[in-house]
Amino acid sequence: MSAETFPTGVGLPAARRLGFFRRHADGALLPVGFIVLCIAGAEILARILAVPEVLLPPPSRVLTALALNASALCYHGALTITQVVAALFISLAVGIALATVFTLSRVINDMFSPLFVVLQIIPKIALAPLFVVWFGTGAWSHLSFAVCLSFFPILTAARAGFEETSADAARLCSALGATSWQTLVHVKLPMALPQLFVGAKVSTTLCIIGVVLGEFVSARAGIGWYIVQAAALSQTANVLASLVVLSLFGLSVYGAVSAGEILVRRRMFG
Amino acid sequence: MAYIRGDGLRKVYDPDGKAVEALHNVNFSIEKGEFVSIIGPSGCGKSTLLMMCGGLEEISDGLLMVGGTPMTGPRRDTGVMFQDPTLLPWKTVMENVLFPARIARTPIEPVEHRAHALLQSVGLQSFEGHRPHQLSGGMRQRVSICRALINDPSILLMDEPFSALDAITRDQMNVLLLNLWQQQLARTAMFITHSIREAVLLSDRILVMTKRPATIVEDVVVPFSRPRAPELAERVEFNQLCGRLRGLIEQNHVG
Repeated sequence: MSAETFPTGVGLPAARRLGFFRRHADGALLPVGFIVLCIAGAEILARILAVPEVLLPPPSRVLTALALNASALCYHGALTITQVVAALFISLAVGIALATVFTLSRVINDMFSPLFVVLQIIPKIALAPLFVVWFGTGAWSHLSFAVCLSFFPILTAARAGFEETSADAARLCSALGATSWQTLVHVKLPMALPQLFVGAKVSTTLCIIGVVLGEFVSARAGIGWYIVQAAALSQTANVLASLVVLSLFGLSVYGAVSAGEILVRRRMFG
Repeated sequence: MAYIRGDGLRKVYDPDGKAVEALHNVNFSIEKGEFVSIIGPSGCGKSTLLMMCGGLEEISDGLLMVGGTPMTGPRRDTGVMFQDPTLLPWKTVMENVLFPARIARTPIEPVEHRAHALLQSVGLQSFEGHRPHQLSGGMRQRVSICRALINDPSILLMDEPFSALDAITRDQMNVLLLNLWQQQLARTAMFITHSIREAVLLSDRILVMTKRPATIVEDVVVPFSRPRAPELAERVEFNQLCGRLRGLIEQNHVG
């Protein structure tokens, strides 16, 4: 029995990690290089063609605006991204809860799940002003709007993940006399985790859209509000600067979700 | 009285309006403590019969009595081993073995001692903290044996548990199961296999099934006394019995 071999996952961890970084560095080099090239091109074009700054400020002007308004941008950006993160967590809770109910009850599933698909077809962006009417002008309206926009990918991912549970594992559970709740908690939910992360990545982008749009419609602070103010004063460089901040903050949230996904996949499947 | 008894068992699948009869008038009985193998051609419904005994497959017609009561659903005193080890990849070996106890909501501590002992008896004591992807196929199936035995079931159902393993590992697993079995005699086992030699080595009795619609055509007693050693497989009587069984299967397969 002892003659059996098994794959050792501990061989040369340092070398593997180095390879990991190199792989990812290579992957980052191309897009970053392309962006740098584009920025340089925009700078040169803006100077040669002398485009008015209100229409399209050169990247150097945007950089100056960034530096000058750094503290204001960071304040508003942080406010927005906090709401984005909160909206993402609420979306996760709502999406998983709904998927759980649908999985546990055939009747509720048959009754409501077509309805949710129909709801998705409605252009929800048009509903943004309604959320102000319902929840006022503060964070609650932004949050609820963002959640409404972004829970659906998580719901879909969770349901796909629950259904993906292998027939073997499901049979094991019924052989053990597990209740459907036990099957869900012990087997289906862990098995759905990789799928859930895919859904969460899509949801992250939708949460950003939701919160910023909510701030466009009505707010007293936040990056969306800042953009509207800057645009009204024709400070195009400030608008672009806030976009840069928003992108960086958004990327970091997206990156955190992706990192979580990698961790979970490695933890689950070696 | 028989511990597991099937009377006129029938199974009809109805996938798209066209009824397919998988099992036809299956009659058998297994005594308490007996190790019974079921052999027959592929796809003949052996697994269906086993799953019925595990309460995992509905019975279309007939009566199945287990421990004196009609079968209605999965029983807590039954351990099942599938062809695939079906380990949960995010749980350690130990956690996988304890999984049935967690589902049954029994206190974990006494079961943990049993899990240690079981893992030791299959030679996996130093792998308790490993996860399934770090183990070989044979090791995974050994974990699956431990999991099937963790709640100390009175019935052990095995559905071709070693058929996905290579020949050498399979032989090792047969010896392992033989030894485990002989250490704790009171259990009743049903074992599905394609391998005649495996069946003869392990069983007290062998039921031979025909192709679809399947029924049991032969009930062969394996006369070798216990405890058995793997060397039994080299004896002339062993090979004669294997030959006889092979003949029975072929005869019913063609006919």
